[in-house]
Amino acid sequence: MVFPSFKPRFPPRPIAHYALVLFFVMVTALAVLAAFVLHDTTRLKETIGQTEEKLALQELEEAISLLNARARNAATALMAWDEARQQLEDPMYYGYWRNSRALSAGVIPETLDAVDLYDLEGKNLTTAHSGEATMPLKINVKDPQPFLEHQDRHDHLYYFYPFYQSLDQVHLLGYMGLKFDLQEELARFRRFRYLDLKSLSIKASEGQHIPLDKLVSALQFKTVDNPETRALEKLISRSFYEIAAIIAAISFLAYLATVSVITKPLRSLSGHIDAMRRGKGELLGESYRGMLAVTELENVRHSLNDYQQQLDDMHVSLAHKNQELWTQAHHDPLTGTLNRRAFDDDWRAMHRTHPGVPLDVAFLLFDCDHFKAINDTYGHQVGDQVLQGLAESLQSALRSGDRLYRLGGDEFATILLSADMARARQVVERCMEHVLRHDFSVYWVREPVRIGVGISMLTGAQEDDLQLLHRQADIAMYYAKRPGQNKISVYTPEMGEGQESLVSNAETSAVYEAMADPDRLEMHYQPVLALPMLQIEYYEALVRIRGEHGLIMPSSIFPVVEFRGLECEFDLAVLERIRRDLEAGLVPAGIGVSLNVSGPGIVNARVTEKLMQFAPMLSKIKLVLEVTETSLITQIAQASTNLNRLRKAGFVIALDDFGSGYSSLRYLAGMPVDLVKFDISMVRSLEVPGRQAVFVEDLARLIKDAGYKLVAEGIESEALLNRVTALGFSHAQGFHIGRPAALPNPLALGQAAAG
Amino acid sequence: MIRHLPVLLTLLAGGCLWLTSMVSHAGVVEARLPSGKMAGAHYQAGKKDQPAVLILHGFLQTRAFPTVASMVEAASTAGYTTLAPTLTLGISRRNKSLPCEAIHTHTLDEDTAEVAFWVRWLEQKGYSRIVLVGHSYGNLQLLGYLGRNPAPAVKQVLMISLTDVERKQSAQQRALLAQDMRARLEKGNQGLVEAEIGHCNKYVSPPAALLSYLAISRGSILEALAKTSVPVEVIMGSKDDRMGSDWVDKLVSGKIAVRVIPGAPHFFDSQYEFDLHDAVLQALQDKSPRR
Repeated sequence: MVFPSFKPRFPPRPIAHYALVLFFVMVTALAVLAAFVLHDTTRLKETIGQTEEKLALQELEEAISLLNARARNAATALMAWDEARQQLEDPMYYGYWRNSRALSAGVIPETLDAVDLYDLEGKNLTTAHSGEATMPLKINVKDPQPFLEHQDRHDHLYYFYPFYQSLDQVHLLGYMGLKFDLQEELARFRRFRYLDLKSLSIKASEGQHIPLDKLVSALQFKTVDNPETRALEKLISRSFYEIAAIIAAISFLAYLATVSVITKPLRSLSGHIDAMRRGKGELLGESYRGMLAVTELENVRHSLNDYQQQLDDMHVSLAHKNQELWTQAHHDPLTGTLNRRAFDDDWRAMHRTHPGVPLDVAFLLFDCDHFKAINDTYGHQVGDQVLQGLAESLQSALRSGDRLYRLGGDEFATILLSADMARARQVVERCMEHVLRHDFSVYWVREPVRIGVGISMLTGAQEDDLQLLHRQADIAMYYAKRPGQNKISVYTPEMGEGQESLVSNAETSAVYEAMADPDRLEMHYQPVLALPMLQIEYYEALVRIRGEHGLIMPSSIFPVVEFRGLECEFDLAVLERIRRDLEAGLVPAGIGVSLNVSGPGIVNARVTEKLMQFAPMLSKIKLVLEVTETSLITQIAQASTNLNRLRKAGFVIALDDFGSGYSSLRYLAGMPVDLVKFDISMVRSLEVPGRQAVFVEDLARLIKDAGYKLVAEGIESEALLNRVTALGFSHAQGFHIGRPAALPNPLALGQAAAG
Repeated sequence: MIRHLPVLLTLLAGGCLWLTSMVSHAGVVEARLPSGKMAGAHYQAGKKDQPAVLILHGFLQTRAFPTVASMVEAASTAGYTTLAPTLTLGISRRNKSLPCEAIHTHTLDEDTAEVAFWVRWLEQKGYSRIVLVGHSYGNLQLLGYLGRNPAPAVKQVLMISLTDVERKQSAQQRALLAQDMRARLEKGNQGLVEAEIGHCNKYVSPPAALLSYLAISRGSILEALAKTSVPVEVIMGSKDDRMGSDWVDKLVSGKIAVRVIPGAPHFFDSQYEFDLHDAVLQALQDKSPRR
């Protein structure tokens, strides 16, 4: 699905910003609304003020109109009053009547400031009064109009009416005058709602007469402070503020609701998606839970959770696959044990678990004795079964927490953390016991299957020390497998001296290259004299390997060969190289060659067959086959069979290094041997008088008497040569006689002579 | 029915003429007094064979006073010609009672003259038999008239609630006040005086006017009654508070015919109004009043 592209004008903002903007827009709208309301309120106040002013004016007009009516009523009442009429007829006591009787009789309002009667000519009936009650002394009878006079801060209204004999207004008796204080009369008269009576004033000078019909226009006044208007204004104002507060509260609540219902869920969803993105496919542990209030967000949440669920399922599936791959990658398919990769990973994992912390470890390296021979003898299928049996035995001997690794071939290992030597030995012995108890005969293996164990201990091991541990265990293993050892060897620094070749890449590579290409071998031949004629009877072919930095000597070659179990292959290469030397005519005619064959080689069919390739030469030269005592003892039956076959073919069999090992005479008697080569240590003991020399002399005579010929190695002096000659040794070999050296190539010699 | 139509029309025309005559003889009449003031009276013509009854109101009142008005109506209803004047008390067309505090320039002689004026007015109307009926203080003005050679047509006088002038003010007090007034007059002082007279606590009057009323006393009343040639009958209420306890006895002892209505007050209001009417009508019918 392709979503339509949307190009926002502004960079994206958090939704909270939009919510805030909305909130501020609402507040601004509220402020504008407030301004309108205030403006309308002001206009309303002005309108109300104008209306009230009109109403106040109306009130004033009505009040003055009613005051006029009141004056007319008073005039009517006065005209109907007998006593007033009495005064017009006989004004003898008018002063008393006006001052004491007129306003107190209850006929006309007492609130009148004054009342006066006038005769038909308009003359006041009296002229002897003054003060507040002052009335005009004479009025215009032709037009007795009422008027207002501003006098001494008071506004007085004067009304004048004709006074008739009776209400029929036929017989005119005179005139009457009434005087009101405008403000006081209005105040008494009625209660004003709009007119502020206290503010009532008149635009007139002192003593000025204002006709009644122009009175209203001449009056100035203010409206009363209308409590209802003020209450209405307060109500509007309060209502506005309440509404504003409510709207503000609603806006704020809406903002909170937006934040709660939309913003937070969106942020959480976004955070959840970001977490998924940061996790790069890793499981998040939990999905986005909690129902959301907004349908669309809820749908997004569902979709997201479904998507996450699918990712999780894919992740779990991948994890299972990875686990399977990891298992395949870290386990040996043959034995089911962990493999070399797992070994390396576990080592690194240990150090990652305890970063920077030195570990006390014991590295146990297990190796099957003569596994190559077993493999070669019984076939790979049996070899595999033997490896499985070994793995099973070792695994059962280890503790549940210990891990067994197959490092390669028949080599197994385990690492014990925080283990001392005693515990390491205990584990090793239990392993050896379990192997010993295992019945390998079910695989048709007749020989007992044994293992050698090399142990290296390291205190404070770092991550980089794995190779060191492995190398030390290798060296210890080499010692464990040496003849006469008890199959368990703990590495000591002394073992490392001279054994670097075991683990030297250069020597190992040279060995392997030589096995692949025998021409890389360089044979040195050391002469062996026939005694007592002192003639060279044959050369012992001693192997060297031409390396990048010179010759690699046997002391560096054979540890590698033996350690790697390459004896047979190496024997084959050496034999091939000697064969080529012989074919090349390097060995002088008539002189034989002594061939060294390893213990495994003597029981190996291929080596035997290779030796048999020398059989045609036996008619021309003497070929001596030197085997060690150890190799014969190990597999004496097979060895004897092969040696007998070779003897019959014409080989002379020599027992090499006699005296360096068990030197068991019982074994010697059962071996198909022609020559016995006394080890250099025994020969040299002849130079030192003592029990050992006697013992060697007696042993030499004994073996000689048994029918064996004797070869003395290590002859480095004439005296020693003479001594062994005297003892009846048939052959002698040593630096005194001749050092091992490469024989000159006759072809090269011929070319040189020709040149 | 049609046969009797001319008779019915004749009767209807006669009735209308009679009503017209009655209306023309009923209403307020005004007359200018010799003093020049306009006086008014309510006149109601009655049966020709019955005497005309002049009913005079009490002190400072008018003919509209309820006791008087109801009595006029009762007499008129009984067929008597009635004339109820309102004394001017110095005020033309006076139509309201005059408060005590008003300026009283009128005198007893002027009152008496007005009574005489209205008696003559009746005589001029053709009434040869006139009965004077007075209420309260009006009786004193009637007595003043009787002492002035009354008209021969006056055949009978009924005095209702004849006032005992010394009930609230002793003769000595009245004498002292009269002396004061005379002293003022002697000094030429015509200034108004506030005095207590009759039922008024503050009676405003010039000295001469006041002095005319102070001339009346129990003795002058009884003397006037004794001297009059016109038969006089007095109707009193037993509960009249303006009457001394011995006033009726004094009247009786002066051989004045007195009719006492038990329980009636001075104004014979409420249910006593009818008792008064009965007594008045009874007195009017009685040709020979008791002594």
